[in-house]
Amino acid sequence: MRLQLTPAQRAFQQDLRAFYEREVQPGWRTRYKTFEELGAYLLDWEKVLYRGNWSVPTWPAEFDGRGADAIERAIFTEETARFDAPEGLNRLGKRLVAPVLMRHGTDAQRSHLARIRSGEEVWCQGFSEPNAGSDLVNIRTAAVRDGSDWVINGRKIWTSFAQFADWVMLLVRTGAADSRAEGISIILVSLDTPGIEISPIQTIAGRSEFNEVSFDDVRVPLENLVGAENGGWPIVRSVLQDERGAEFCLARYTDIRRIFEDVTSYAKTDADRSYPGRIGADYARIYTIQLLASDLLDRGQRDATPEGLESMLKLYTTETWRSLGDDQVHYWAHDLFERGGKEGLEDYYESRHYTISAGTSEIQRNLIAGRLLQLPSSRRSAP
Amino acid sequence: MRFDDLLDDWLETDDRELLDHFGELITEIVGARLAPDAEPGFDDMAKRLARIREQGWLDFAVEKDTTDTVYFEALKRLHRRTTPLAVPLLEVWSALRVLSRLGGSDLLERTLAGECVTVLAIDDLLRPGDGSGTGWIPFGDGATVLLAVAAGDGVDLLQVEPGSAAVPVSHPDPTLPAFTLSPASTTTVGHLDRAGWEGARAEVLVAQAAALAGQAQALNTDTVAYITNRVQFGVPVGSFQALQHRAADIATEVYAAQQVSIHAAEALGAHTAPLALGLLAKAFVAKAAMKTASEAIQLHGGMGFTWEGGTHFGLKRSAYLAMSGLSIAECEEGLGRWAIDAPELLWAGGLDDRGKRETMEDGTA
Repeated sequence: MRLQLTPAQRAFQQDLRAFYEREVQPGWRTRYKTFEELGAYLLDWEKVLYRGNWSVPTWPAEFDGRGADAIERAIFTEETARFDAPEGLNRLGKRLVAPVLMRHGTDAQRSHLARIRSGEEVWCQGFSEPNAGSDLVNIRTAAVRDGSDWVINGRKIWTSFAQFADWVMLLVRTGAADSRAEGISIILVSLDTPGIEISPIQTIAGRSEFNEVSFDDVRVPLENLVGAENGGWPIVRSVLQDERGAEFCLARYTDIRRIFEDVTSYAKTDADRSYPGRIGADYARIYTIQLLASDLLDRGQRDATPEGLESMLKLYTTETWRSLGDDQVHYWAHDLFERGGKEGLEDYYESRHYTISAGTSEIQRNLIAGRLLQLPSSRRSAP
Repeated sequence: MRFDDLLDDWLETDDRELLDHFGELITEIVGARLAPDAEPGFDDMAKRLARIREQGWLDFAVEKDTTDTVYFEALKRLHRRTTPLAVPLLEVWSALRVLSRLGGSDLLERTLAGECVTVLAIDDLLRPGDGSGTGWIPFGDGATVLLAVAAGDGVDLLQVEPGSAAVPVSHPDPTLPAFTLSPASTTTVGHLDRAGWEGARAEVLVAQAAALAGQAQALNTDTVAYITNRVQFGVPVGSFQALQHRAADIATEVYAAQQVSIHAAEALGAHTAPLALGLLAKAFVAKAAMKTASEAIQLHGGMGFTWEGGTHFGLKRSAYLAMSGLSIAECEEGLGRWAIDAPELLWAGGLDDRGKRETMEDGTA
């Protein structure tokens, strides 16, 4: 895709550069000792974004966004990487919850949008469960009608940022226990409702981005149902597709690129241990992420995205990060462990993160094989 | 949308029709698969090349109307087949394009007129020596050879007439028998300065990347079809997850290789570091293509290891392209050294104005 910037796109780029030049504080990554302190900073950053009108560039103008087109979305990611700017804490609210509310929410539910945009309300998503990870249609957290309320019981896991969040978009079973995809609904739940307990999960990086969230007779008004009762799965499918789409991967790309630029800076100073062949190989692979993301964005604009292509981008991007992490240990260990300090180690641990979250690499391969290559189904009835 | 359609649907309709026409011509010319004991000769190759020339596809490489995008895409089409063409068209077209950098020459005119078959010594353009010996030259026993030798910070281009002592080279692709030459006499055709030489090298690397991307696509398509139809244990083997995951991995590599090839073709003309872009394109695509070819053989099972099955032709052409000029490791090393020395890394996407000249829609810078 040959990208020619229009005057409007050029102006978008210049405005964003001016904003980042003014607001990004160098060294923000290493300033905070705990994840909680970092979270508080990222929460403040949401407000900075809002004041600069950069909180929700991808939202349509009717919801007070900038209505960024595919090229502008790519510009946003490009400049975010260039300035090493924070992503903020409310990315799930802005990128995953908001589009659902825009498309399927009632007027009352859409009233959350202004607060998501301003950073007043942080959201998380409650999808996975201890026994329903990759097999998401197996969720058991149940919502039962009782008068004017839903009564919710069950447990969610891997709930990112729940400890900072005000609300959760919850996936619940409203149909029979064996109803699989046909008995799933989406309900909005305020996290200060009685009966909710949030327990942070320590990751391999020793921090707690994830949480386990339990629901014990939690009562939620019936009007918090999004879309039709038992009609949640098609909505979730589109969310999952977005979650592994171009914006998600471009956000990962900003991290990968920053880490790789650190590696090349190190290589400049230690010729004996620079391993240029490996630098070249990794450079080519990381460079290519943006080509794949640009193609996906371009296809999105042309309405020419075959099902399964997001999975290719997700698989490629996250496996590239994982192999860069491997290479940091194999080739540039001194940079990683001596000079990179805690941040370098955290980056290494994070390289193991995204091949698991938002659909494991194995799930992505299933989707590529089935949807894009149209290979025969492996599902056979049990003997 | 089928996966193969996904790899093609970015082309303008006119360009696609033109390239479809070219692909059909090449399919006609390819002919029967080579037998294990057959040795393609220069004369048969020259006849095939003459048919390509008669249809206007020699001039195509140096015509003003031929954009870089279409030129490199034609190389992809040339190689998007499981049985590769036994004509070194990449080397012939590359010779024409290098000669056209000189602003015209007698050799260019004679080649376009069909009076001689000129092939570029790709090894020597990328790693020039003193001209006393050459690297691999496909059909070098009968072709006129365009040879680069080191001269200052550029290269001199020499013409080697047929008849020099030619020693056959053992290399994987039986459809392109190659030779090394020890030229007794040469004629100077012209000189490329540093920038011209860099541009020529970058263009050859991007051409090889395009060819490899096409070859990988053909092998992927053939492999997906094979595991879809091959039945074992009462089911298509492509229904087994172990094979599906391998197929998904190579399809992802093929898709990425296609995107790199397209990007390199589009960006080359205005790039601030064309050689780095060429190294990146070949390093990435050749690696993806070799992985695809290797997996294609494995996923075809026993048939993959037979001559009759034919998958090996794609493996061998991929290996030839990957080895000729600069190896994958040399490309990675060169790219890495460039990255370490560069004051700032360049990134793709067309949004980052460090990488290329951007223009507004009205054409202003």
